[in-house]
Amino acid sequence: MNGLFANTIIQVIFAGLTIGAVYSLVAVGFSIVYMGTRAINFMQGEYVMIGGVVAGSAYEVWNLPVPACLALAAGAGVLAGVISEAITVRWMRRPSPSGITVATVGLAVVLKAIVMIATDRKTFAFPPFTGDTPIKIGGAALLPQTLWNLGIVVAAAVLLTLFFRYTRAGVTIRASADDAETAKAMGVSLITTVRQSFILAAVLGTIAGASLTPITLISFNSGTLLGLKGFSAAVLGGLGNMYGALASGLIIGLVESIGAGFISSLYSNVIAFAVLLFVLFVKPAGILAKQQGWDHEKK
Amino acid sequence: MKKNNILIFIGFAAFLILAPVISPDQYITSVFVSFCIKIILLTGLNVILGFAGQMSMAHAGFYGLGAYTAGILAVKLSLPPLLALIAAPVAVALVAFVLGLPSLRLHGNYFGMATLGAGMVLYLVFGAARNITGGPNGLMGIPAFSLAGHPFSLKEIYLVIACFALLGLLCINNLSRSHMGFALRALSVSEDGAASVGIDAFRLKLSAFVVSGVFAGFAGGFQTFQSRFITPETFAFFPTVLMIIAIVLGGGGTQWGPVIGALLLTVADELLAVYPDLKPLILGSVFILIVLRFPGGIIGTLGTYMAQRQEKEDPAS
Repeated sequence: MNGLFANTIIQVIFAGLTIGAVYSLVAVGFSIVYMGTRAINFMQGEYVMIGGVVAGSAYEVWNLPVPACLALAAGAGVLAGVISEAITVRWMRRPSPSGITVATVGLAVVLKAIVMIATDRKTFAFPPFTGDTPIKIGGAALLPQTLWNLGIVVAAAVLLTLFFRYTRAGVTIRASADDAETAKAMGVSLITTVRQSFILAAVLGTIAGASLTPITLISFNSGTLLGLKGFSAAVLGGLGNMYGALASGLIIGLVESIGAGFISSLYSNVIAFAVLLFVLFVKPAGILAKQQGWDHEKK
Repeated sequence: MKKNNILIFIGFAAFLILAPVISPDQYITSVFVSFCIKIILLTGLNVILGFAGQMSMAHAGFYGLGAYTAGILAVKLSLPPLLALIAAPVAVALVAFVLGLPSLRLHGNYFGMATLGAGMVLYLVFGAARNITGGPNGLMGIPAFSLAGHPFSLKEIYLVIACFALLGLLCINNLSRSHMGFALRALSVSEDGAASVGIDAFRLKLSAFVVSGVFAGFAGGFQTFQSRFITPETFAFFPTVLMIIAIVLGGGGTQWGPVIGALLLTVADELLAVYPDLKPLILGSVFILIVLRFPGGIIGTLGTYMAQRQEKEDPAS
């Protein structure tokens, strides 16, 4: 193996981790809403798109500094979370996991259409958070944005752990995910926990979007495929399993990047979904599950 | 069929066959062609989604597989159009069978996820396999449909498609009233309950999935020969969502649900042809409203309303 080849491998791994970090955040968003509602929130990919579009337009149109753009993206996430929960759960006559899932699909279609009309199909760019001078590691170049994205994933893991373990809101979300009836009997407001999980998922999504936009341009159309890939990661990690989702996002990013670099860049988009099918057929409860989960859904 | 239903069916058949024949306008005929293709497509989706209650998200992918099978066979292998058309449902049925074997053993949401993955793989492969599918630019040079050297005019191919759509509706109507139809509806309510009265849920679901694939394959084959140009975007994630929307709006698991759904999609296509940007906005909003407030769809809500009215008129019951 010569040095050039080693450098290519390192480069491909860096690229995979950068995009994988985004999949991780999306996947963890799917898991959090799944914990709260047992529904699959198809808005998750659109949160990424909103994050990218809001951060990008705040930067390009209003010339705001990068941290302010990030704050705006996070704020848009809170708003998007509140709206999605209100429409898909609160307005539903008899909320059920499948009903909520189907409603989020409809809402995603509507939101995409609104952004398409509002932005006139424009694509948005956003600068790397701290410049783009690469850090030399041997012969390979590491972009600062890669470090940022990985840092965000680590920070998300730490903060989410603290949140779910030590705050009242986090504990009640976990309790109602575990046993909704008992939690309700203990005085937990399920409506509040569901709303909190939507907000959390949406903010993670918009932050993911803002950290993706420095790598690739974002438009109204970018969310769906990202969301579906993040969903594949969530299933790979086991739906509802936070750490599984975080790890699987990075795995999917890496596999995709290696596939694109060494096999075929045309088929790289297919990889995430091939992984999804493989996991569902072989181990549907996810890679971190202890037992086979064929009847996981039936309990 | 009940007497009323027979009359409605005959009336609908007469309308479908006569309307474009009477009208001299090519445009009207082409609208009817797309309406009938949508009826075939949605009738198939109704079998797995409406009757069996399994959220199949591979339907646009199957539709595309049918379209590309017919198109590739006709363009790259120069097969006669009839053979290419017949090969489409065969190919889709095979894929549905192979995909159904593992994925229909999964319960609830997991079947939806597997079909979602499969649909995405199909769509992305249509775009990626450039040397055989033409890639994102689409497959070009598809010949007109012809039989024994006689090329079909738009009206002639329309009549074939319309007869097919009507035949499909009849088949599914018979199926829904057969033992299999009742068993399918039983397992859509409770799989355990159905299994406890001796219904082989897995085999039934697999048959329903293959049947829905056959319909999607025919719809795809017809689409290929009608438009003579296909691109991957027609078979992406959004079209799958649109089909599910149409079934939910029309009323899943009902005989006329897919026809209403197809009518809505066709009308939306034509009305919004000038403002294509508004189509997802309007269809999506109506869809959300229906899911949130009228889960039975148009037919189901009408049925409930009629039943309530009958109860009021007939207090003895």
